[in-house]
Amino acid sequence: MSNEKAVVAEKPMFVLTVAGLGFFLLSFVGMGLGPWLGLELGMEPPEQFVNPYEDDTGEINAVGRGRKVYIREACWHCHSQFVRPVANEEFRYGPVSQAWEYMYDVPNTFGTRRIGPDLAREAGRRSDDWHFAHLWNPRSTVPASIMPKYKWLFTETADGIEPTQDAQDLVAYLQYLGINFKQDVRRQVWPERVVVSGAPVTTPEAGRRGEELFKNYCTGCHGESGNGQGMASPFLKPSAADLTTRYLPREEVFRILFMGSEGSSMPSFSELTEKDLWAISQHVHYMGREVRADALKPANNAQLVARGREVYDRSCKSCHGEGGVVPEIMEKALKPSPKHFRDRVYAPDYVRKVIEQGRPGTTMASFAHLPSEEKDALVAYLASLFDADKYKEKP
Amino acid sequence: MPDAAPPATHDEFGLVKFHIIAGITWLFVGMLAGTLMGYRLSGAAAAEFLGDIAELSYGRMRMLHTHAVVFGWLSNGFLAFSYYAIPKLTGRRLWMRGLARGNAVFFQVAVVVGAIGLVTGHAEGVEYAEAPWWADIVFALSFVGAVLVNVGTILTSGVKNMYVTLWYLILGFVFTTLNFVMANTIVAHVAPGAAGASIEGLWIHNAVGLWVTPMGVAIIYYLLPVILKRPIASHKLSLLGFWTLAFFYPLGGSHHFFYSPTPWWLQVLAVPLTFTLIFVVYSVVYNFLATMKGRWKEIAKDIPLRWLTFGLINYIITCTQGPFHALLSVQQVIHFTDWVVAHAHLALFGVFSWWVYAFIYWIWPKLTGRAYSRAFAEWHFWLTLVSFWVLYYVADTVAGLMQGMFWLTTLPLQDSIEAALPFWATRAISGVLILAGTICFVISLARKGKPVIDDDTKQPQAQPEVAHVE
Repeated sequence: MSNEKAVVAEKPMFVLTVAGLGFFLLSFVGMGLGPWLGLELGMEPPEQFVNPYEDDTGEINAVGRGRKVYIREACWHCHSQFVRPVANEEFRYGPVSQAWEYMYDVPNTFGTRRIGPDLAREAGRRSDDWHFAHLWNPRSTVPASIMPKYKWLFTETADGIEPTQDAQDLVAYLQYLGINFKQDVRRQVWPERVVVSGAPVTTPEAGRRGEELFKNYCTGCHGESGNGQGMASPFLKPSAADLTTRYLPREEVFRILFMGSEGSSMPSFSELTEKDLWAISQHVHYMGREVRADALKPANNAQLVARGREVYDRSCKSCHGEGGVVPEIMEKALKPSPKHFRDRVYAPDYVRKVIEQGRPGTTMASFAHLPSEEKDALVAYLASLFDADKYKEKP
Repeated sequence: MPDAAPPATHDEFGLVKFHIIAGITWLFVGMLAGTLMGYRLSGAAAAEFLGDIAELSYGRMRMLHTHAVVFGWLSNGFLAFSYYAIPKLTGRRLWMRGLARGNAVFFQVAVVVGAIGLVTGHAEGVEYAEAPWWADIVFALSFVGAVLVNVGTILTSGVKNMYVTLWYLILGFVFTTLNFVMANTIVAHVAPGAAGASIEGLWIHNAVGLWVTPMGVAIIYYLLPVILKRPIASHKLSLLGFWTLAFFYPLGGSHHFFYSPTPWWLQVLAVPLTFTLIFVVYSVVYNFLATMKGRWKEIAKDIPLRWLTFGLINYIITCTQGPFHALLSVQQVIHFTDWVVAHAHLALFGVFSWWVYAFIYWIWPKLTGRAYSRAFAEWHFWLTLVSFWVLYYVADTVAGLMQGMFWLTTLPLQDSIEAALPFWATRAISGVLILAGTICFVISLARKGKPVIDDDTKQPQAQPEVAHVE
């Protein structure tokens, strides 16, 4: 051993200055300041991208406050916030993250663990109501979830459960995450149209699988029996569909599962496999299968149907479209979209109820002022619109 | 002022004992938080457990867990070691002993203040440094106090050629002071987004690599020769291991954010810089293995040596994993998964906590003049070893691999969570068993065993005069 050198390398001051201070500075300059400077020079944010956490006067806004709640509750320890260009993440979450998106984040909230889904592309994926219900109790929207509850972000009063300012800010932040890519995510999550050609043959296995999946994914909002009275129901406006009040062909269920219902809290479940979506469709279909016979009866009364058509054309057609086929412009303008009546039929009582009360949370207003006779006529006309030949049912 | 008087062995026993007891207290806090988290991840019903109490919520426990084990348990353990080893190795009493004593209590206050900040909802978003800024200031003051005493003693002792342990102690103390300040100022409050992530990578990487690692390695470099009564096999390798660790380790921090929006050149550079560490750690490991040569069977009867050895085995595993994690193809699969969680626990618990256990078991009879309870020490060892390796490490590693593989498919995320649940259940059980083991640890130390026979005089070792800390 060259003694001379060894002695230098073993001197306290040498170790302190070279190893302790020197190598720290080296790493900080090379691996910290270097990339920082590189980013400052190389980043090209879109011109309109300004600090999302402040309003015009420089005051912190709801999104900024929500970010603080997000950090305070350590959300980032289970939800990462960047989409990698590998491992199928573009399919799963959306466009790959870019450096400029984070230029106002101090400190960053990239996260290093992903127990729940990545949130970098959360904006526009789900409704505010969905988020409130989910924060209050994650099991209410995702029954199999292992996420903790955040009840302290809500106040429970006699009137119901109210989100606090913190919860509202947090949801504002969640709806901000990836807002610059919101349209791309929407195209991915809420496809404009999906053409569903013939459902596969129903099988008992699919029924069982469908029941299991319904339990894991749907009961939070729609309830065990599908009556729309799930755990999340106090939060949802419009309320979750009561699946026992309508006859839905499996193709129609599949379409809704795949596309979601933008504007309501019904998210898209397009991430599930096609086979599983058909299994759920079968299960949901059976929930309202009994309704069909009763619902279609009024359609046999031709006079009533004709009267119903008059009322429909006067009061309903502008949104629901000629013959129950919603015009594309309405489908785009109104969220959730008005219902079309070719591929579904409702129990008469339910139709009367909606005419009476409207559908709070949607553009469907109350038509309580209509005379009773016109309401009955409408029930008959809507039933007649159903495409019974297309959706045959074995007796 | 440097104290010229030669140190007596038991000078700092009170200080050492205080830090050990404080450390073990924090260990319980950390383990309880960890086990609570582990249980809650074991299913949808378990997720609701105590879920209405904001202060005990999962996210806050997550932060308390790492805060308590890194700053409370390990740091106290390291300070106990350095306050013992530095006077021994420099032949001098501690510089500013009064500060050391006062600071021992202040240090606990600092960790408590941080913990309060975390559970009451004042956390900041820097991993391992989530404590709010006002807690950071208290902690930084306390840490600097400890650095002054420790490094000050070495510098003022006039020692020319330091023993390896002292190199690592100086490195750990000086580097970590700067690193901690960097994390809580620049990362927490200045550097934005991807630039912040690059620097945060340095912090989280070096909190392990240049605080926990050098302090832990310092312990084994000290204890192994003392227990085996033979010198470290190769001084040259010690030098090589130290200087390459000090140089290369800090440069690999950006590997925590592979495929993130941090600059690509930085990520590419992190691959070889991280992979180099495999040669660094193997040189250190070889040195220990060579020192152990022919003496392996002694781990059967010597509890401290056993903890050192099994810690060393874990060190080999974790340090072999690490460089391979830095390969981009491996990153694609394991990043964000439990694989990394298992790896982190293997390092911080399986290696460094076990080395601190070794130190505590070794020093305890000297501090108290009485042996620890052998039976309970065995229970501690076997409960910890089996439940950690089998129920935690292997289970979590497999769970992580499954998650990564699931995510490569187009199956829903929920499926990967359901697949992991059985493994998370065993992990929760391991938490309970490890806690039980740790209770055995405390009982083992607390039981009044036989008086220790002094090696030199063959007489019962005199009960040391334990100086009280405040």
